[in-house]
Amino acid sequence: MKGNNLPIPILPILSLLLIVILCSCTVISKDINRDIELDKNTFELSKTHFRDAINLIGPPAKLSKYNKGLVFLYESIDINERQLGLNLDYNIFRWVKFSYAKGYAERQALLLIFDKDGYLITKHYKEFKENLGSGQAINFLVSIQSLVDSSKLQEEPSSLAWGSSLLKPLPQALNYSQNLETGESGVEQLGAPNTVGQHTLELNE
Amino acid sequence: MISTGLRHKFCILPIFSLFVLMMACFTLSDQQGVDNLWRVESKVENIEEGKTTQNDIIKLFGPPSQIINLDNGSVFYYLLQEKKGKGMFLLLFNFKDEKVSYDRAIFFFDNEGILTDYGFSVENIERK
Repeated sequence: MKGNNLPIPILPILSLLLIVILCSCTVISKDINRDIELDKNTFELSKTHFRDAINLIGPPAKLSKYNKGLVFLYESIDINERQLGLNLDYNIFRWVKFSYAKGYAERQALLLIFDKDGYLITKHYKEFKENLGSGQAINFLVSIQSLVDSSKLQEEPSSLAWGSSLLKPLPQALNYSQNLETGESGVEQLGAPNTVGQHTLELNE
Repeated sequence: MISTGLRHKFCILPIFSLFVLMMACFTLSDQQGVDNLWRVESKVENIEEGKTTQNDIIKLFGPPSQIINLDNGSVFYYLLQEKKGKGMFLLLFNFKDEKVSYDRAIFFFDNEGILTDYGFSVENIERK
């Protein structure tokens, strides 16, 4: 019969289906610190003074004394999380979504070490992509909630929390002389595990 | 010809859509740290390496965020953090975008407390 040959409007049906099923897809992004923009030969060993680095790219995110000299650490992090949300238009389920999330961070790190006279003795620049893993959750339909744990990369500078830093658990307080936040015992990148190295005696879980 | 009533309806529709969209938007803003007085020109113009002391810097900018003790002197580190973000809740798509910026100033002193070097971040947070 001719009537049976009517073209099926696949695209509108598919779109409608997608609208009903795929609901509340979410993109969360966080940009921490300005990107590090420099040429490979910007800094020269034994020639660049720390004042040149500060004049060119500003004060570092972290600095510490290092032997008789100084160490500067510059960091920039872009965190991106993509969530796919599924929703069922049935009973109480229409108010919740089933979400699956994947996250990654694009990172830049620049390490500069200066001798006791302030001249550069070591430099290293690295750009890398870090997988932040995935997460699943059932949450309220209209909510934006991060499902990937990137808290380690979002830690605020210790100088903004000096009051609460005095109330640390006893093992951390006793280990204060080796603390990497004081600027006198070295520096560490954001996201470094807190159960190794100088943190060992802090007995973190 | 379009009647006046129909024209009204055509006007109301975009306004209503905009209203619905605006309800689903949000922005966030937060500052933490010290006041970035180093962006005030009159405060910076008198700073001179080899002459300005730790006391002068504290008088100009207040207590620093962090003081670091070095073998051959000390460092005053000033920090202001700003978080700015925006987002949108829509039925099909949500997004949240946040940017964290830092305005920093750093001052190096010798063992006598005299300024040897100083610098400010390239990133500049507007003073409110």
